[in-house]
Amino acid sequence: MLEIKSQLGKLNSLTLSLAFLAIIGIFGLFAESSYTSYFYGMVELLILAYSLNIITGFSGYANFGHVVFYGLGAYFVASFITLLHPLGFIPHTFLIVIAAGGAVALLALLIGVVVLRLRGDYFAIATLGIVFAIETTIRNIKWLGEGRGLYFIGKIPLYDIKILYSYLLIIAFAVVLTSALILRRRLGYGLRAIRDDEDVAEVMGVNTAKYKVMAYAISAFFAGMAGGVMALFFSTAFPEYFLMGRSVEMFAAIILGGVGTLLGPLIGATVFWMIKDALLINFPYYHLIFFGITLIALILFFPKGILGLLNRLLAKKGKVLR
Amino acid sequence: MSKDELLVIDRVTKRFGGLVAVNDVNIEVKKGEILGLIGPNGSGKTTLFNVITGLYSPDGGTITFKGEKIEGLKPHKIAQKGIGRTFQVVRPFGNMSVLENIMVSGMFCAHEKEKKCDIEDRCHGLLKLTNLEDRVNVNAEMLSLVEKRRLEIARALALDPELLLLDETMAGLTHTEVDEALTMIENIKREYGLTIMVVEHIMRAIMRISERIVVLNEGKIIAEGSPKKVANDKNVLEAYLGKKVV
Amino acid sequence: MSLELFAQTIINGLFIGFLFGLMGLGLTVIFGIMKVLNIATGAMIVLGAFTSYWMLMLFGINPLIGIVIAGAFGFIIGVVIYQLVVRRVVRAPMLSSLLALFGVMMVLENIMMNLWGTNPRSIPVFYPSINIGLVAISGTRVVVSLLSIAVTLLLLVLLKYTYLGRIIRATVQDWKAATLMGVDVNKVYTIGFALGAAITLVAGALTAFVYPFEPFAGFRFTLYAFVIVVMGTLGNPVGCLFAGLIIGLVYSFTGIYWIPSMVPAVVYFVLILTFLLMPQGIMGRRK
Repeated sequence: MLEIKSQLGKLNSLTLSLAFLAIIGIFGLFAESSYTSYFYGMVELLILAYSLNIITGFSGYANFGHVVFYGLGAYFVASFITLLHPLGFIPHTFLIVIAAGGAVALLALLIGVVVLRLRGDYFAIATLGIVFAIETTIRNIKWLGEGRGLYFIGKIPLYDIKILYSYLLIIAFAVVLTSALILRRRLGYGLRAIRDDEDVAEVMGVNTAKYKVMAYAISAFFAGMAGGVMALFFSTAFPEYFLMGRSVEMFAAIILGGVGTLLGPLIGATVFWMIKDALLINFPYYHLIFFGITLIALILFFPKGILGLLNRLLAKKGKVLR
Repeated sequence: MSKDELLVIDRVTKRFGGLVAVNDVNIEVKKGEILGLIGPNGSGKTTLFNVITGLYSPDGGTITFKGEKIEGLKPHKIAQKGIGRTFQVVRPFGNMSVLENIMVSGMFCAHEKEKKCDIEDRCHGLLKLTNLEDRVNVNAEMLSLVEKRRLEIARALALDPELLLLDETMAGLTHTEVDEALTMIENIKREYGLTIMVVEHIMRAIMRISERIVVLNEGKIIAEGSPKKVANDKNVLEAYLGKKVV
Repeated sequence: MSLELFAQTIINGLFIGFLFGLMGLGLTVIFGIMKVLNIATGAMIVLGAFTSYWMLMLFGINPLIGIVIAGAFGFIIGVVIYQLVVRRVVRAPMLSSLLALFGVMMVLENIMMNLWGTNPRSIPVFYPSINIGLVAISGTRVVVSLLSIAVTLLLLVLLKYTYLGRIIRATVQDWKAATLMGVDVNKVYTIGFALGAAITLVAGALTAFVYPFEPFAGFRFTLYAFVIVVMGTLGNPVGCLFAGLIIGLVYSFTGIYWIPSMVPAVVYFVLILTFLLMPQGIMGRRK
């Protein structure tokens, strides 16, 4: 009996998430364009939160440099378009976005094999520096536009935000489904075991090196695509994509929602976005200070997030929301 | 190596800086036997287990399992070849449920073509065997010590191993719990046809369950033989009680 | 590829390396005492620089004295940050303290930005260069280096020969035992963190002598400090200086023989290399 309840629990999480996405999707698509950009930001953060959750939430490896995949996705899209343009043939931009995501994932495989050898805490430090290092390197590469960025205005038609929003929605659905799928299969079990006790996981048959890298690459794939879509919006990729602050946002989002769960990133990203927007409007200069304070408060007082709080209430009824 | 021998530990040595934890140890584990491994604290028993399961690489010697050399292999490979173990200090996957804990090893050491529902059935069977059925969906960290120890055994069994290493499984259990554990282990051995290596400090437990005992002291083997023989061995008594007492 | 250039590069590297070492020292002290990685190090360095700057601009205080003031201010700030934030995450997994201090970093940087804007500032300090043959050593850098060494030695003396130092070392070795001996571990940690913060702000005040600074310029210093800590100094203050020298050389050589703006990337590369080459404790697997 309890089994069925927990299975239902997972199913409910998935259905809830998808339903919510559908609702936001409809709102965003049929509202005025100015409102669409609000939802755009929310869905983008959602994608980033879910993708970060796949590596950090599930396996416990805190990837502080997640935003680097976002930025790289943008640069890959810009590069692909710049390279293909003189050839006269440019495939559908959504395909380019997917290709960029794939490229980022490949890069993540290479980086991951090196960086995931480090124990959890030192992994965090290493990934922290990655953003800085890669941004610095890009700023020094002429072909990538150095500090100005890589422009491709005119090489592809200018996109309406609603079309890009629909791109994002597709990616969002994909990442939510992927997360659910991962949780149900070997990858999910392996990652969660790694999170609880990596050495024991090894001894229980989990090829920890391989699975960590897989999760890292998958998370990079989705983050990269989100960055790619953003590049389409501005018709350019610039170093400012690599903002450390965005990594913090993603972290705050998953912690707020509940790390390592299926519903967590959804709740976290949504609530965070609403708060951020409100803060931005009311305190245009101080909002980052509030961010910092919010982050601190979260860590100190609510490490399990909203879902954690909910679960404590639900625990009396014997249910667990994942 | 004869067909009889499941695990052969040949001149294995392990050093940590200046300390030699395991010193030129030779052990042959026969298929189907229960081999006890005893010795004072710090004699190298757990280190030996860690070397066998691949958490450490030996500094010298080889380990052969079912005819294959396994020293230096990664732990997950060794687990998949059929060696399962429990830990001296219980280490369950705390944030996962009891069933999920067992499913991990079940999934990662599954036979080819075994589907998830089959694995689940197998794991449920193990739950029954280790008397944990009513704790199926409880988070592992919430269990009592004796339940955690049973979970560790179930988790190791989900690997479908041929060799099971039990590291002080009964530490901290009451008299009755120890008896229950012993019965459970005997049942398991019978039902699965396992070969077992047991490290234990509780003398009556190890005397009862082992067919053969190896005694370690300061990394070296000082005695070997039937429980009765070992219990009366002068070197063994000296190691535990000190020279003067003997 | 002249010899003079080579020699000059080495000299430059060494005489900035001591400062880097000092930057790492503050971080090492905190990490060594309570296993917390102060990712706000860079922000604190900038804060130290600003402290010295404003003392000069507002009160005409000699920058050399400004250093001492920065240190005192740093100590106070350290106490505050510890009591408000760090105290609660000292026993938590490292990720928690990392995130919490990241929050502190954001707060510090943005308060500074709101108060003082993002225009780079610097402190005009000039000491005459010393010329040895064809190589010139910047006088300012010599002073900075000597002061860095002095602070490091001061810390060493504190740890080795004072009562406080003994208490700190005991707590680091075994905090539970220290508690049983009557040591108020909380107090020790507070002082430890404050000490680390003080050293960091002092490093910042010294940095103001050589570099322009603005509220968001701190992160690269955090990176340098991290590398130095990771180079296995294990809480040894003198080790920090040596690691600092290495980073100083890397910095100098990259700047002169390659592209200056690539320095952070190269230093990061060194960080990764250090990670991979350092033995157990930092590597993932014990073998």
